[in-house]
Amino acid sequence: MNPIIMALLLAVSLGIFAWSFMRRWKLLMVGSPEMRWDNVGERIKRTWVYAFAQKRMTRYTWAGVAHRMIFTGFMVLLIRSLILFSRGFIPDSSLLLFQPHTLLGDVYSLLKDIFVVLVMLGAIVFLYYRLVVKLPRMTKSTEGVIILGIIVVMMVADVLYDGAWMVLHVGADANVGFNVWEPAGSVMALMLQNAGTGMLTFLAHAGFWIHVSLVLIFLNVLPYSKHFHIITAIPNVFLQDLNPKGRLAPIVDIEGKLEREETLGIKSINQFSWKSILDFYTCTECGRCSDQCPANNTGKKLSPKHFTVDLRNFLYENEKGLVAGKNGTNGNGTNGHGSNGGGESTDEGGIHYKDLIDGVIDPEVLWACTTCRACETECPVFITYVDKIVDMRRYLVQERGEFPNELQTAFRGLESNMNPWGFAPDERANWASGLDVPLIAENPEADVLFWVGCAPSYDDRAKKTARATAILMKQAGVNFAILGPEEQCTGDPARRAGNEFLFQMFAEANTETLNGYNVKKIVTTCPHCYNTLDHEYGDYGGHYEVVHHSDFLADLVRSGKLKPTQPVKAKVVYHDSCYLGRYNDMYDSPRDLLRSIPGVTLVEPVETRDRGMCCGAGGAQMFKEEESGEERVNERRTEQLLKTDPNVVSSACPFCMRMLTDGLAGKDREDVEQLDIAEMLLRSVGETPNEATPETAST
Amino acid sequence: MRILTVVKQVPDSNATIKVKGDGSGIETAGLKTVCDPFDEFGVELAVQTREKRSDVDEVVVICLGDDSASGVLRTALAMGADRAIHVNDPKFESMNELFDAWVLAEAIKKDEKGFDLIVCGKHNIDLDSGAVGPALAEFLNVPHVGAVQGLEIADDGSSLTARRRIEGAEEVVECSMPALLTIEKGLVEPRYPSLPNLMKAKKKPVEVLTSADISDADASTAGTDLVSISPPPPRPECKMIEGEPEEMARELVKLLREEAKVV
Ligand code: SF4
Ligand code: SF4
Repeated sequence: MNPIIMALLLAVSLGIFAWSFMRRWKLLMVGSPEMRWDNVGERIKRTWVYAFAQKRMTRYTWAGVAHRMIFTGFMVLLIRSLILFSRGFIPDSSLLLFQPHTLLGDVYSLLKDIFVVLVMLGAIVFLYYRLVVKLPRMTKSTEGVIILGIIVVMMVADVLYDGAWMVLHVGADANVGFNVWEPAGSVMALMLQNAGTGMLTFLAHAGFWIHVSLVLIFLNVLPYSKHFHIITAIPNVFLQDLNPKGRLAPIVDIEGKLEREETLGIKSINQFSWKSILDFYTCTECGRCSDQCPANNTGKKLSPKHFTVDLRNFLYENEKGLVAGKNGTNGNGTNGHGSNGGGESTDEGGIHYKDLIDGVIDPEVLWACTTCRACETECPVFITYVDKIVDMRRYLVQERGEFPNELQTAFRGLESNMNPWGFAPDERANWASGLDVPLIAENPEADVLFWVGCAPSYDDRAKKTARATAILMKQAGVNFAILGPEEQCTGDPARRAGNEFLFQMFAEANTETLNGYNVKKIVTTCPHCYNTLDHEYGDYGGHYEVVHHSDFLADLVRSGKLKPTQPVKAKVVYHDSCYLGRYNDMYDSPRDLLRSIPGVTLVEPVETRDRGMCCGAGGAQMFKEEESGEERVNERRTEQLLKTDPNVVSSACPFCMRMLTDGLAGKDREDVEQLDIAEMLLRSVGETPNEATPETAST
Repeated sequence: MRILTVVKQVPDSNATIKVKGDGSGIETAGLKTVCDPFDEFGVELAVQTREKRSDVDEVVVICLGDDSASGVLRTALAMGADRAIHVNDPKFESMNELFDAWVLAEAIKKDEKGFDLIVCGKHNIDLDSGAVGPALAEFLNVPHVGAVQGLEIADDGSSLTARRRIEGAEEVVECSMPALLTIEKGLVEPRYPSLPNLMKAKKKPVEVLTSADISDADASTAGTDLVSISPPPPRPECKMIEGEPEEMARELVKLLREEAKVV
């Protein structure tokens, strides 16, 4: 093969690629700073599991299998491509390692032939999905088809080259035959054995040059297509956020930022961090995120895939201005891995710094998110959305003061009465009337602080969960206490609604109270409180052992302190709360608890555990009207649960309970009971008379 | 055009009110207070008017209250008012809204340029007399339209057309300016002040007026005397009747006859 042509080809294409790569690198650097190289060991581990072993891919079975064939094939064929490039200069080169008739050479050539076929098959599966099935989750683009076409042709060219070369090089009187070490090549050789030498030489050359050029063309197409993920996915997985899944990064020094007139939250594209930009680069447009998104599935404007793609498109369209503007600005760092409020360059003016709300991302998109993390659990390349959506809400709420009007009631209620409904703070412990639950001020030696939360304190339905839990703890002899009127909202709804300032006030006040009483262990029935207390209060000096009541009660049953003996005959379907399941991987304890009750038959909906659909309340949706769409999220979820034909829908979150109760009422299915796991357990353990009915006189 | 908006600090509507032992007033220690929601409508209206029109020179907010009321002024400034007047003197503490109006009127008269539009809430949620607006209009000798739910101000700023809902009908009132309006719910939705605006509010000027500035403060000028305050009687216990529908009906009739004595 011609070394001059090969040298030219390599020089030109690698040159162009280097130029493209630098373009993307400079654009990446436009983003604000963020720390993502701590804990390298854990990062390597996750990169192995999720990038190389492709753990998440097979959540969609066949697409996953096909993708694994292509991915692994590419890894194997990388060596093959290098061998072919070297043959441009040294005929018959095998990079000194993979010579034919050596063990390594033979094994590799076998492996290579197997993967050539598997890659081809994988590409054909994808072509079938794109052209025949037309999977709705995927973006229909000619680009996708062309790339798959390139892959198929590349594989065919490789085999053609091998086959023709074999026939040409077999001795004059020998015959080509099937070779187990080169199955694909030798079959091709058998097919070509009667062709003339001229023809064979032509085919060998054509196969070689087609393969080699396609590899180089492919490489140069990547940075300009969704196939950029072939380069960026592995780093993107490596650089993922290692913090607990549910933790949102705080805006550090809000007051200082206000003094310096820096943006709170994200207003313009350059305020996203470089890692967010890497996320945009990496999106493969597979649509798995949107396929699982409750907002998208009920006809809301939000589709996480389009959110990512729209931001990417805007970024690419404004590359010039952004990169030029970067030089004249100084990004102000954020603390830790804060994803927020970085590179301040709006003073530059220019369309590229424009407010993303004005025409790039519709606010309705942002307000439709329930922060359920279904998307983030699904994305094979660990792109995140909740942090970005909340960062944009932060800007909307704190800088523009624009948000769904109903949230104002919640914010004001929080500001003046420390709970989103605005109930009187001194009535916070009324749920416990008659139960003789001590305040921590009266029982400072308590082993456990029962963090009740706003909904179980004030919502008539959720109060019953609080009462059931308190009764069960008393029966088990747990020495516990509550904060009563000293308890304030954790601030979760404010934070998820973008009102970070308000959240931080609660975080500071609550950690001060908790630390003041030297609290060590907290039990709560609310997964939102759980998540905030456990993962978010650390930033404010609050470090506690936080236990959700599903774990706590399950332990009490396991240790024999609670004995569920009375049968509760019921077919029970359990609904996973997002903040318990996807946020904190707690799928089993609530189920164990239900199973420990004699008479209970536990059934599972199709959409369960980490694929369990959100009830629709999270991310402060509870306190606002649902965005317009075709259907309400809670109705869809109720339907899914009802398909199991249960007598009881059980849950472990006061907000889920509210949404599902409404869902059942909307379907006229009040015959199906909606019970918290604690209420279920109480039925089986038995209660002392008159303890489980809340007084109706309060609030 | 200059707009004045009157605000008052009131207990939060969900706060638990404790009456002082001697019935002379309510306990204020630890009491959650907010800007009166109806007065907030007034502030919002003033700010929106400035945003819509090019001829508004200034939006001023005035409040009669003690030191703690400065928070209410900050809210109004964060919502968009330009400057504030805080009338603050122990001598002016009262439970008499007519007297309040008189003090406010005296304070307002000190402003030489005068105001073309004065807005207050329809009433305040604490004392609920609804007297401040009309009385203030009387003391200032300007026309007044109460409980306004719709408003148009003439382009030249010389008159306004206000709509107000009355029993079973809507009244349309034309009125020359300067004028005083009291605002009903539904005309505007008060905004949630953004953080940068809250910061800016801290730097806006607040003028404090005391009894030294408002001469001849004389409580006997007008009004009512508060004799005493007492809490409403506690709600009687609720009784739940349980059982089969027939039993429950029987029990209910029995209770209505024997305990409530209504049948
Ligand atoms: S968090 Fe849930 S609602 Fe929000 S974009 Fe992801 S899947 Fe959709
Ligand atoms: S964000 Fe992730 S899941 Fe969604 S389309 Fe892109 S790659 Fe797929």
